[in-house]
Amino acid sequence: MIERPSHIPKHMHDAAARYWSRQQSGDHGIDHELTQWLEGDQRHRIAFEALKRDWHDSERLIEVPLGQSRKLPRAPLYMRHSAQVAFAGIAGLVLLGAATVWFVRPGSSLSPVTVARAASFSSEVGEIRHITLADRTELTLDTNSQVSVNPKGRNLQLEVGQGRVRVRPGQRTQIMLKSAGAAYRISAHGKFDITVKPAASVTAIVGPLRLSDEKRQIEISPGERVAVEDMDEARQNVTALEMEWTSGMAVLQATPVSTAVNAINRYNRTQILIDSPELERKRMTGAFDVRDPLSFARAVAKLFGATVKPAPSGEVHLGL
Amino acid sequence: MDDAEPFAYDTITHLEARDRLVRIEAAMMTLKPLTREIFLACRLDGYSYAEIAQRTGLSVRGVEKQMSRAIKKLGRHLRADD
Repeated sequence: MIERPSHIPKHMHDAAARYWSRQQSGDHGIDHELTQWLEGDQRHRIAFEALKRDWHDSERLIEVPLGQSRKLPRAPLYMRHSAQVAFAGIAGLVLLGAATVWFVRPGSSLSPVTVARAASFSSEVGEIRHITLADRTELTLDTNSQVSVNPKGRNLQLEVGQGRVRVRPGQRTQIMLKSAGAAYRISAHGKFDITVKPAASVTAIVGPLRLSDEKRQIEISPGERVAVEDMDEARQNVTALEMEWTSGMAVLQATPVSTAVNAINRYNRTQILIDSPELERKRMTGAFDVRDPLSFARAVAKLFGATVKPAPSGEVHLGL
Repeated sequence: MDDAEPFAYDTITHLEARDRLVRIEAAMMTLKPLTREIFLACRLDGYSYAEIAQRTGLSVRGVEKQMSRAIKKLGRHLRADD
C-alpha cells in the first residue's frame, strides 16, 4: 500500500523540510546523509517528494499580489547576526567579570592573598607570603617563617621567623601572641612586626601599640622593639633594613657588611660567607634585592675591592 | 462529446491548480512577515541564503531556519486539506 503524504507522521515531514532547507543553502555535505535518510523508510521519500511538489508549485505565487509586492526587509535588531554577536560578547564579558570576582574573592583558592581559617601557614626560604586574616587584618610572613592562626584570626602563634601585621585602616585589632608557653595581648592599629628569633619580640612600625600579659602592660612607639618575655628591658630602635623586609629589598644605611650578609642569607639557599674579619666590619649603604645573593656579593666586592669566589659546594666566599 | 472531455479535463486541472495556488497563498499568510519575505526572496527572486543574510542582517544559519520554518508551514497547510 502506498501511503498518502497526509498519513505520514508530522516529524517525517519536518525532517524533510529541514533537509530541503539545508539543501537549498548549498550545503552539499548533507547529500550522503539525505540519501541514507531517504532510503531508510519509504515514507521519507514520499514526504520529500510531496515537499518538492509544494516547492515547485509555490513558484506560482508570482501570479498573485502577495508575490508581486514582495520586499525583503531588514530583520529586527535583536535577530540580526551583528547584534547577536555583540550580545554574546557582552554576555561573555559579564560572565568573565562575574567569574573573576568569584574566583579572586577573599577566601577563594585563586585569591592573590590567602584568607586564614584555622590553619598553619609557612613560607619557604626566599618567599615573602601575604595572608589575610578573617577580620581582614593582613599578615605578611617573612622568609622561612611559620604561623598558626585560629578560626577567627585573633590568635597567632608564630612558630618560626618573622611576620608583619597590618591592621585594616580605621580599626584597632587585638591579637594574642603565644611564645614560649606564655600568651601576650597586642592591641594596635597601623603596622607592627612580631619575631620569634633570636627572641620573641614585637616592633611597632606605624602607630603605637599596647603589649600586655597577665601582669603588665606597656606601650611601644613606632620604630621601637621590645622583647615580649622581658617587657622591662630597654627598648631597641630598629633600623630601616629591619623595617623594609616586606619589600624584598635590603635597605642598608651604613650597615656593617656582616649584618647585611646575615640579612641576605636568610632569603637564600646560596649562602654568602665572609672570610675576612676586616670586611665584616666595613659599613655599606644602598638597596639590594634580597633574593639575588650573587649580585649583592659582587656589589660588596666592587665597593671594598673584595674577591668573590663561588665554592663547588654552592656557597659564595667574600674576602679581601 | 468527443471534444468535451479534454475541455472538461483541462478545466478541472486548471481549477485544481487555481485552488492549490489559493491554498499556498493562504499558507504564506500564516507566516510571520519576515519569514514570508525571506521565502519569497529565495523562491521567486532566486536569492541565495548568503545574499538574503546580507540584506536582512541575519546569519546564514538564521536564514536557513526561517526557510525551514516556511517550508514546514507550507507543507502542513497544504496537507491539512488533503
